[in-house]
Amino acid sequence: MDCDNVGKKIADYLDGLLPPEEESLVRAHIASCKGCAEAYSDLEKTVRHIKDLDEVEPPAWLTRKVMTRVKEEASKQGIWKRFFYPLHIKLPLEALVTVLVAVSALYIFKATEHDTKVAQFRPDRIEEQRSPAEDTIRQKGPETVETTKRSAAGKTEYERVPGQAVPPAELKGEIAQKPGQDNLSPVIDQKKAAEKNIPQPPPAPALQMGKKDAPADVMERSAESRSADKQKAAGSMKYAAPPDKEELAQRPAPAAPAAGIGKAASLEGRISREAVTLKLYASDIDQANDEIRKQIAKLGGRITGVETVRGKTVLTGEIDSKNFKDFFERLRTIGELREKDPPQGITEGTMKVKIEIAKKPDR
Amino acid sequence: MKEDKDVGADEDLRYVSLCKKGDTDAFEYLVNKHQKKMLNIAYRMVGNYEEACEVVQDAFVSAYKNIKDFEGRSVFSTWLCSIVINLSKNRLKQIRSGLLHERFSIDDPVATESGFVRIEPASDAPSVFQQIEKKEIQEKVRGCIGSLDDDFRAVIVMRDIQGFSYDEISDALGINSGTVKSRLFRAREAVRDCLKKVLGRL
Repeated sequence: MDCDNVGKKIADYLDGLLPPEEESLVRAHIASCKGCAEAYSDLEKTVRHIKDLDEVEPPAWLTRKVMTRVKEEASKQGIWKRFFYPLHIKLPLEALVTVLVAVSALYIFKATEHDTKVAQFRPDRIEEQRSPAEDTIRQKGPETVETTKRSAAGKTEYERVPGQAVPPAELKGEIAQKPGQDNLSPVIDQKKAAEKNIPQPPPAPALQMGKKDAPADVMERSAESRSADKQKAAGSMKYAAPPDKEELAQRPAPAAPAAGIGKAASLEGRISREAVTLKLYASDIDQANDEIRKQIAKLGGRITGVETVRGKTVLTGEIDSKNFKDFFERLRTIGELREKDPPQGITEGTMKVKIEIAKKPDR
Repeated sequence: MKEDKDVGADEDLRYVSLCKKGDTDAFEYLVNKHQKKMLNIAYRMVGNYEEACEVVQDAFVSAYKNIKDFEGRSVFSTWLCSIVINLSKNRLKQIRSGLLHERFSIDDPVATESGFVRIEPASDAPSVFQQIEKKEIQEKVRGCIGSLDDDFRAVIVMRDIQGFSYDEISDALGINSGTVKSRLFRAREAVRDCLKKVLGRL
């Protein structure tokens, strides 16, 4: 083995990493070669110097300091773990909570939906809970009391809803209206209306006139408009004239499951009957319009609304029912009235009229 | 000796698995067991006792944070050592860039870490004299090691001071054992030359 080879292996020789045979060859060379011996000696002394370095001792506080920081870290990790780590627990838990929330929401919705329906048809239920004021009204008109009872008997399914608070005065009007439907005491009701300064309802025959159109109209109305209509109904329908017996019979028989829609429809039906609808064919719609306005003004009435629908002008207005007959006659002079005779029945108070002016068909 | 090391490593693994379950007491055991070795490595790497203490604290905290990444393929102490070496290198970079500490030069007078050695009045007793001489030599050796590049110093610290095997060094530093060998060889030569210069002899 030459000096170059020994030089390459000298570090391994020093570290005792050479295989025994190589080790003995290197040892033999070093023993015989002064230069290699010196190199080995230098290296060996250097390493000895390095290994002789004294070790330092850790300060007593080192472990404590380290552990303080480690424990802080552990608590931090603990918080994170609690929030994010146990997903396998959290996910089903969150799912369960979501389902619970959904179920409760559905339950609450169902529960309040029922209340909403009940509230909508409150007017039909007042027979159950009469206020003292109602009783007074009934005492004034014995016939009214009687008919109300009949009406109540006929509507048992709807009306037996417990816990309904009976409100406002407007409901009393409803009570009064029911007897009217039986065509027994319209006059009494109207008198009461007059005492209270409430607008005069239309006469009974007008209802028959509007009857054909009204039910379809009503069914088409959106649910949103119902509550508004209902208020209107409560205010002005109280004195609506009674429909004829046939119509009463045609009315959907109240059945509990269909209560919502059926009752809404019947309610709406009554609303539509409040105004007298007259259809007038005129050669000149605008001229007829002006003329009607003049005539109604002369008779102490007024026009409350105008709308134009598909070539027809629809005027709505109010007129004292005493003057209605005159008004009807004057309309005949303006154009061709579809109705032959003026509606009968109501002789007091203000009544609403609706006049549809259409172009006279060419013949 | 080799067997003792294996037993120690197995024991470490047991404590490591406890640490992974959040047992801080188990980690305390590992801190107590390894802190001296790690402190000495850090001390030889950064050359300053206080800095070394800081490095060791950071290293243990970092080890705890990352203990889940320790899969037991290497020995725990080797893994820990790699953290200490890396943090020591980072600390040295900070110190150097901070310009607060001048880099050690072999031409500079060797700073003593505990100044009393020089201040202490000379004694006639030979043992004291020898002691002083030994301290002086150690300071120079330390200075020479400190003058090495960080990568070379890391190898010499692990091998000649701490006695890690080539494989362990290779593992800890992420270099192959051939590179470990050549770096070790060059590092020793550099220290040898340095010592010859500062001591005048070996």
